[in-house]
Amino acid sequence: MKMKKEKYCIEKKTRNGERVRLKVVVASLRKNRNDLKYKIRQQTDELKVKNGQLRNGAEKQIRSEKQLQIRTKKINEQREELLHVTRVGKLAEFVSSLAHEISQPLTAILSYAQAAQRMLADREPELRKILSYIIDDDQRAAEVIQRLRSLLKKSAPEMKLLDINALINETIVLIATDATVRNVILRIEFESNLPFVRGDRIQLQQVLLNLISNSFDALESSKDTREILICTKRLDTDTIIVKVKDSGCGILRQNIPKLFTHFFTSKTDGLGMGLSISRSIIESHGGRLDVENNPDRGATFYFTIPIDKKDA
Amino acid sequence: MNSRRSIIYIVDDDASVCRALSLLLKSHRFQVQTFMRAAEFLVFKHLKLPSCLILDIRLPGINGLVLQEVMKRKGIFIPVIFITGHGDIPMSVKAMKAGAVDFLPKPFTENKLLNAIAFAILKSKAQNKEQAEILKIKHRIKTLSPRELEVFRLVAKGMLSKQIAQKRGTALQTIKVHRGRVMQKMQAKTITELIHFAQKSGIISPQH
Repeated sequence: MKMKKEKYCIEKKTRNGERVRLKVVVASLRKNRNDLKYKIRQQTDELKVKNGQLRNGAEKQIRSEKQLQIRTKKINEQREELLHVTRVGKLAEFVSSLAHEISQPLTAILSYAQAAQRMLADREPELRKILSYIIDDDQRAAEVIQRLRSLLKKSAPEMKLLDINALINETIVLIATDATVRNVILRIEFESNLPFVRGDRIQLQQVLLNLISNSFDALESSKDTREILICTKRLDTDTIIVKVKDSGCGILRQNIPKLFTHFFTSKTDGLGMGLSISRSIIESHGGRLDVENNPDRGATFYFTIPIDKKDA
Repeated sequence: MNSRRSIIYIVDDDASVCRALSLLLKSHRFQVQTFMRAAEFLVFKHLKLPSCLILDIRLPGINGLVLQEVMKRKGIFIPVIFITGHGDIPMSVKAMKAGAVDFLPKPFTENKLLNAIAFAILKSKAQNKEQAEILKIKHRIKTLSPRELEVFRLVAKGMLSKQIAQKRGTALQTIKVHRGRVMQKMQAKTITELIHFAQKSGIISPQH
């Protein structure tokens, strides 16, 4: 359509006798127009590309945001799981200790009552009846404890080959938010290329979390440096040592021997189970968990863990 | 049960448990001796009566399972009944495999305890009898001359007098005389009995 209109225009000007010039003008006009068209097309194309890139970028951003959300959700789930295991573990250990403590007097009561019954022989039927009530109730108490214990049976640990540094990193991710909220900096100093250890991932994470959260508590009242240093080192040919060092309030000298026993706590809301469970976990891995106060301030908890023999 | 002629040892670190069990068993006319620590039980001079040990697993110092091993090593043949407020299955399996008579979770009834004790005392009587017999055989072995002892060993291994004579390069008659004396000194009526004595005293186990 456009082309036809041009031709018509050229013919019109031809009648005025300026054919040649017009031809030139038309030609140059056409060229300019074509150039312009070309440039516009080029720019449009560029714009299209850029537009596409922008759209891509936006999509990518949305995607990565989604991934981030999924990852955060996963971390939260893992933390929940770990907390649950810790709580159940604590409770099981607590009930188990309680069961032992209570079963001693229950044994004694039962035997006293039965001995008394026997000594009365055929005399005092009413007293003997009372004794039999004591016996029944003693057994009722024993059954309650038995049921509670069977409810909270601990599952067997899953021993696998683990990279201790990676495990600590995973644990730190779980506790990072907590650290931010409490305004504590977590620092790590890892010896690289450490050999594998054999252990139960969840249990060892439980120990690390326990030590780190104890350090959080120790730093609670600290005004200046609020820092926890976690380091790993090869101690000798078959042992790795993991240290959790804080600059907190440290541990009273007289409390150190009691620190790892059941029900001992210096916290107002503590059960006194964390460190005793941690120690039994580390010992079941063939290692040792202990503590010392730092020369300047704060305390360092450390545990050793044997290197897997195949990897030593 | 002939209670008065048997003794029950109790090792439990809880004083009240010790006292209560002691009262209960005394009411059944057993002799009772209680200890708060495994080490105290080990140094005690055990009576030569049918006996049984009621042993708590969780003890300060030497724990119950370790005491069971130490007793075995020291040749203290007293049947063990474990009692525990903390028992789990692997623990009880370990204890039973090591020869415990029973494994009673605390608190346990009088009946359960008495049944376990009755069984333990029977076992103890059998063990005592066995030990007494072994002791008797060992005494008899001590009366053998070196040559007689050698003949005893070879006979117990199933060799014929002829083979022994050949091996020793001695006259058959001499071996027959030695063998006759062995039978007499060992108070064995038959060869089967003699072999039985050899096995019991351990002189034909691989170590000898």
